[in-house]
Amino acid sequence: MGCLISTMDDKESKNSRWSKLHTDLLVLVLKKLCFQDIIRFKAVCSSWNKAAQSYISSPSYSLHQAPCLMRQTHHKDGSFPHTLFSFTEKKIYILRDDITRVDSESCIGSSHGWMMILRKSNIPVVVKNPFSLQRFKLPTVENLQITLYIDTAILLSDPFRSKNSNLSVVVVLYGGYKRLAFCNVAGEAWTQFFEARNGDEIVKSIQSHNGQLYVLSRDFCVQVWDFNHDPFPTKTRNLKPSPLLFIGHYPAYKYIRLAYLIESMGELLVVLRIVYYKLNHTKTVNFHVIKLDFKGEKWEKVENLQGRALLVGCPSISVSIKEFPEFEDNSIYFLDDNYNLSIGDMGVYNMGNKSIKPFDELDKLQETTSPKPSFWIVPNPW
Amino acid sequence: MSYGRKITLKSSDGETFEVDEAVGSESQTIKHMIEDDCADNAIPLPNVTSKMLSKVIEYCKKHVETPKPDDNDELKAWDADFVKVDQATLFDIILAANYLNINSLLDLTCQTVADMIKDKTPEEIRKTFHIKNDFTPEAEEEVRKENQWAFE
Repeated sequence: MGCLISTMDDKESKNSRWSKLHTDLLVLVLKKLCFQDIIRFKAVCSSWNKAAQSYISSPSYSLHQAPCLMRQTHHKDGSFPHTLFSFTEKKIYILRDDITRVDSESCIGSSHGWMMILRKSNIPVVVKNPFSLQRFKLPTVENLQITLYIDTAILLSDPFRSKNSNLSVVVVLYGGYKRLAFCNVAGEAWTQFFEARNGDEIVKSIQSHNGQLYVLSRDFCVQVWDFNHDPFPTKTRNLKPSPLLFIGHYPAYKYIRLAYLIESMGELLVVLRIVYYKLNHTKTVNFHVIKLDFKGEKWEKVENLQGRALLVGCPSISVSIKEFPEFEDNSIYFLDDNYNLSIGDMGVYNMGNKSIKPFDELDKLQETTSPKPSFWIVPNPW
Repeated sequence: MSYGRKITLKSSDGETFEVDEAVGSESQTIKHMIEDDCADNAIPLPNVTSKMLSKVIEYCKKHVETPKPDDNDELKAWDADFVKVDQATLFDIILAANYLNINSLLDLTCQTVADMIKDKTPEEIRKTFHIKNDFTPEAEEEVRKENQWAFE
């Protein structure tokens, strides 16, 4: 970026000291700003722009950013842009409308700030940054017995902040939630590494944590896969906790149980979302939270989130209320994230009084329905 | 109330200030000089004017005197008043807090600056801090295009 500092007269040279504030001090200020303010900070002057760039590239950046809600909605003028809702600022931002191709592409979630976009082609997954539009070209699937239908896709780490960006791994769940395959972001081919052998092993949720893959199966067993050793991942843990406690009476013909695996403060949690399901009408009616005990031997009920809120979806994120007071304590935030089954409601569940309500200040957002799933994203403004 | 010995601080313009060791030690810079036995005579602070030094001492005194500083609403209110200064003075306090390595004061002043930036457009931020827009027209256009949506 070019930088032309024009000559200044006495008054301005006295008053422009702020533009010369040392980068380290500017970064201390940046750490206290939300994502949207950082974007505006970047546009103030060239030295502030450099400081913001340096801060954004640092590993500590994403630790202080609150997740936002992203979805695609029909705009008055007929376009179909992605919108970003910030809980911090309580504002909706309309992003550009060319992030995905409407007819052939669909974003099913985000991973480390990157959009995971599915498309109907022999390159079925695109990893894209919604702000810079930078994308990673992933391999074709010719070597896999892959149906063109992928259930979900995640990144195990941020390609720009990994020690070796070429090793950043993409994992896809496909074949009716039965198979897992992976590739490196700069790789040549996809490789299948898991296939469910029976109904119990069908995958309910996958999550990344510390660069590893966590897999929850229908029988509530948990696998942990490590991808650091070429060429094939290794299963480092295979937890088979004793069968789940009785959670509640939800007959399968009326209710769907969605499960979200989520790591929070060193604990492995599963959020169960109970959805009452009729053909033209779905409604989220209840939540249960369970955690794996320290030894990984059994699931225990969690009654209170103690200073946290859980944002479930793709991805599921645990937030500390102390760090992000814009979220409500002891609550679960859920979205219309499951468009396969037309689960279209969003809101907040309070674990204390077991009530569900719509998001505050989000009337505009909830008026519009979206044919594509909504998701959480920790903005990464490359 | 004063325990421990007194130390003398000398500003860039030659003024001296006598303070309790505990107050001076709020500054990691001064604390290290005391520990290194450099504090028998006046501690010279060539980067801090007398105006700034007296401000900073006022802050340190208040914080040393307040019990349970992390949980004290009255102190929070006092801090909020302390930073109600013009932006030129705020700038000087930041530099002083940084040079003297007083974490809580640095944190307070940077939060104040962040609060002055929140929700403002880039042009409004420039006006607040008297910053000149030194982007070339091409660079400016690039920045705007990248993030048009954030500027509304």
